[in-house]
Amino acid sequence: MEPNNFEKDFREKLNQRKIEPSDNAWDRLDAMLSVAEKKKPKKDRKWLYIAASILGFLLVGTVFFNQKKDIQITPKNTVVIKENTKKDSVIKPILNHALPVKTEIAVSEKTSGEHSVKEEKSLNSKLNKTIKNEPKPIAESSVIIKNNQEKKSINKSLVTEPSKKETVDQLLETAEKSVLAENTTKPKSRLKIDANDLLNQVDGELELSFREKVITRVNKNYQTVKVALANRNQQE
Amino acid sequence: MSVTKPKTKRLLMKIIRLHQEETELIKLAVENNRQAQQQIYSKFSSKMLSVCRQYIKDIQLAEDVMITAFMKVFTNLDKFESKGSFEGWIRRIMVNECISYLRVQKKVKFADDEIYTEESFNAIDSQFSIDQIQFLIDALPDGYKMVFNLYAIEGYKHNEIAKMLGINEGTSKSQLSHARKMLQTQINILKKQDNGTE
Repeated sequence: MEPNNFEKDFREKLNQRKIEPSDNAWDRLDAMLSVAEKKKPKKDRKWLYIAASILGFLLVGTVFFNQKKDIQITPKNTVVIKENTKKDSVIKPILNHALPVKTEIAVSEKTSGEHSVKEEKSLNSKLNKTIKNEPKPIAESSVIIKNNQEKKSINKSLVTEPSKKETVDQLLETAEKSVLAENTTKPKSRLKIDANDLLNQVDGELELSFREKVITRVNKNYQTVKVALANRNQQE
Repeated sequence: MSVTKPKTKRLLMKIIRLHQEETELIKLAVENNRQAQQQIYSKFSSKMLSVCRQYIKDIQLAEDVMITAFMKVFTNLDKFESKGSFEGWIRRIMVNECISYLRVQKKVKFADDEIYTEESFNAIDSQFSIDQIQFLIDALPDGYKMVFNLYAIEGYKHNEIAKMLGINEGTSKSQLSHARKMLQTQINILKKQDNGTE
């Protein structure tokens, strides 16, 4: 398809043609150019905003993590101390409980071994009852019993029954063991669990508060960035 | 500031009066020197408005399109490689702006017909005035007008036109043949009228 003659003519004439634009055309272009120039530094500012927000995040992050460390360290110490005190309190009663019983046994065997077995039996049974019924005031009761035993053993006559004595001893021992077991296992385990539970609870609370703090911080930052962006958009 | 401003002014005057060096002007215009930009504008605006007028009948709309095209020229001036001609580069931006205006604003659609005849036209020794030529082009439908302008006036090839307009090469060819036929008949009518008046 060769260009036709008229097309050549068209081209030459059209390319030579000049149409002067209206006088205000340059003014309009000038205004558009100045608007574009004003927009350009705004774009730079946009990067400034972004950089500033990143810096803010970093700052908040560092402050936040430092706080987190402090929070973690201090409660641990307190918790440990609490645990120790609890453990001490747990151990101490056991010793107090166990020792008097043992000494009581020794005393009872030494003093009332020859004299009054019956009395001893009755006393022991009493002791068992008291121990079984009231495991906590054992120390007091045992001391009272000890005193009573000594006094009574002196006053009362003796009736010896070795076979019975053995069974009585056995009963005593079993009773002792059960009491000991009760004293050692029950409160100890309960308290120990309590300690762990407390620890866990504290940890859980800490974690919860930590999470909450994170969420609130993130929310706050997000809001500030949002507001900044909104302002920027409005300004534009 | 008081020292640098006269300096740049003197430099500008030197450039404008003595050398008119395009590259220096472009350099200054890239740095948003308004005087340099105005210099470029006043150098090419009348030619470019003529280009826009080829595509757009309304002179006001043609001027609007030219202004937006000049905006693109100045905002993309740093991308201009001084290998080709600066005028050609500006002209391409003008043509593209006109095409996008016609396609977006006027929603010009091209019929998907690829039937075209490679008939040779009679050599017409046209001696039309520029106004008559513009009148003939204005009479063409927008689709025909675009392809005719791009092919016959701007010198683009069919594959280039197809890419620019997002159409098939065949469609471009058929549009051109339709435009030529239409112009032929219009020219004949005009000639008859001219002969009648003479």
